[in-house]
Amino acid sequence: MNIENTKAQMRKGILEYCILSILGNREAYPSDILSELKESKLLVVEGTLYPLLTRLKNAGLLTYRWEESTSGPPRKYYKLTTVGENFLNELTNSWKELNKAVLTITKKATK
Amino acid sequence: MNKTVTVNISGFVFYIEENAYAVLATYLNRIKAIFQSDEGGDEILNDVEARIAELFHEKLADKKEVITIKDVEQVIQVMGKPEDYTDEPSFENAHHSSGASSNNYTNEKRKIYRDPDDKVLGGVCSGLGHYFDIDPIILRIASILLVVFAGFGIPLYIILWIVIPKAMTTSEKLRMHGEKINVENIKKKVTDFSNSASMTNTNRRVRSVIDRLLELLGTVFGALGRIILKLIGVFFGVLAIGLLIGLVAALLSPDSELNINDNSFSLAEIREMIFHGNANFFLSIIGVTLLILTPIIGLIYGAIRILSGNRYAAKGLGTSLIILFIIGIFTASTGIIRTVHGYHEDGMSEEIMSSGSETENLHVMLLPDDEFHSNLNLDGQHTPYWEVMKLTENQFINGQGVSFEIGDSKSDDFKIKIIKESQGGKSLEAINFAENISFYSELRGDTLRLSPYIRIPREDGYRSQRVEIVVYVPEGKRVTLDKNTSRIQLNNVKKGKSYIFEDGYKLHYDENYVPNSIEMESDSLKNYKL
Repeated sequence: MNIENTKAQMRKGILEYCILSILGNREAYPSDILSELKESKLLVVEGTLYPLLTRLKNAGLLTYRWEESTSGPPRKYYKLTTVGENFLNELTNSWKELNKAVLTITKKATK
Repeated sequence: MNKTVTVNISGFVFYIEENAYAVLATYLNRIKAIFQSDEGGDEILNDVEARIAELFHEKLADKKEVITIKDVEQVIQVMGKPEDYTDEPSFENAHHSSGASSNNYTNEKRKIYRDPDDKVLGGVCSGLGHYFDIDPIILRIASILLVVFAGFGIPLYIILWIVIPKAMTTSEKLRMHGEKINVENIKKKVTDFSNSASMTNTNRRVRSVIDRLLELLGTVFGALGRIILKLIGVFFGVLAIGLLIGLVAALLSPDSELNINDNSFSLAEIREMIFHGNANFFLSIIGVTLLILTPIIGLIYGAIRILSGNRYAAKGLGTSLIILFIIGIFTASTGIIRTVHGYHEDGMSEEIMSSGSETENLHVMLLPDDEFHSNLNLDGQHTPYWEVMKLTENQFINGQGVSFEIGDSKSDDFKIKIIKESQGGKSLEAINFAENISFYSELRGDTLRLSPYIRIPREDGYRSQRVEIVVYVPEGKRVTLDKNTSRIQLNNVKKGKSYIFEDGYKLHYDENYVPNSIEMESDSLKNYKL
């Protein structure tokens, strides 16, 4: 078993949740999201983000608007739709449950 | 020296070295290959290109003019290898959809929910279908058959509708399908949901005319249901307002007379006479008020909720009302039990008079009634209490407290026993109350005169005080009842024949008769020979 692979899977699982959470607070364009994700070391490469955003958008969770940029092509500013907000709430709940479950189990295991 | 080419990335022109261009082109082609099957693959590619253009822009900011292979490699490092682009775990990269779904169907116990996304009426059939893995259409047809050929189809459906919860959240929907609850599945579910218009098109084609008909019926029933619900709401409202008006009218005048009559009692008087103490009275009143008010408030609240379409749902109000109602039950029952307790002991006092043995015929009559209408036509049971009860400054006068009984005398004289009885909280108290009863009786010659009512000290209150007169008649002698005695209660008419009073008032008893027979002397008089 490849440890990097396992780690990557762990990260990927919660990546969507984190993206939605970032967008839950504000509108953002990919680079903003990227910098936040990179800061917390959740994302190693940027490429992962684009397919994710597109998928979330196609799923109706996100919507975007174009904004002109002074340094390059126009940017897509993403924000949550109502469906996205509900989805985020749902994820938040299951994340809390998961987190609690994992904590309980790991605490027990390390005792 | 390197050859440069110009490229257009996201509408921006860059000069790029030829070998760098080759690397970049390969990179983008590989990404394209990964996403070409995906819906929105082009869009992903455009986004990536836009980001690359942005990154190149940054590289060229410091007076550089050409993108080199080093720049491209750096950008690729930032963006990640093409394999990293896909968000599926790498070991099931290739066939993510089929691999994921087979994997996701295991281990999760299915639960029954009603499916709101695939419903005709309440989603009962589709929910059951998910649970048993049966096409809901089969269940729907079965339901229709049940409705048509067996009467219980409709109630069964409604019961199931009520009993089975609706799958509200995505995790419930997953559980309904027996799928694992994880981020992947939730996402899939939500994606499915948003794409449901396109995704279920095969499904929709399968949906037959019957299904559409049912859908129409569902709409009609839904509308009917809403109308009925609104009507219930209106009914609740009207009922509540009616009850409230009645209650307010009763409460605004606590001393209002309960009966429109000279001798009727006010609430305050009833409180004094019956409840024996303010504590019991107020406990009872508060309890009863709660018992009346909380359902009214509940009705109003229900009406508001129904009529507003649940917009004004006050959290916890229902629970508080129920709690108040229960408090009402306790308070009222405490008050009432304590009041009733004041009656639970019996007490009596007796007094015996005797006629001379020369008396052959004892005449019993009532003294003139100077408290109530003197010629009340009373039969004890059917006279309104306020006709024969009266409260004066320090006395309570009860015209129904006297009863009369006939018994056998062992000796040759008439014996007259006056028994005063009362209830009380304690034995001694009850006896005391009994002794406090004032009742006038006199035996003069052959005539026994009795007062038609009893007087009770007002401070004793009403404790079911009563007086019983028993006349023991020697064998072979007679007792004659005056016409006016018809207003007091005759107690031992239980066994015998016919009792005919002067005015033709007649009581008939069929049962076997007891030792000393009661027989009529003449048809005009009301004489009883014992």
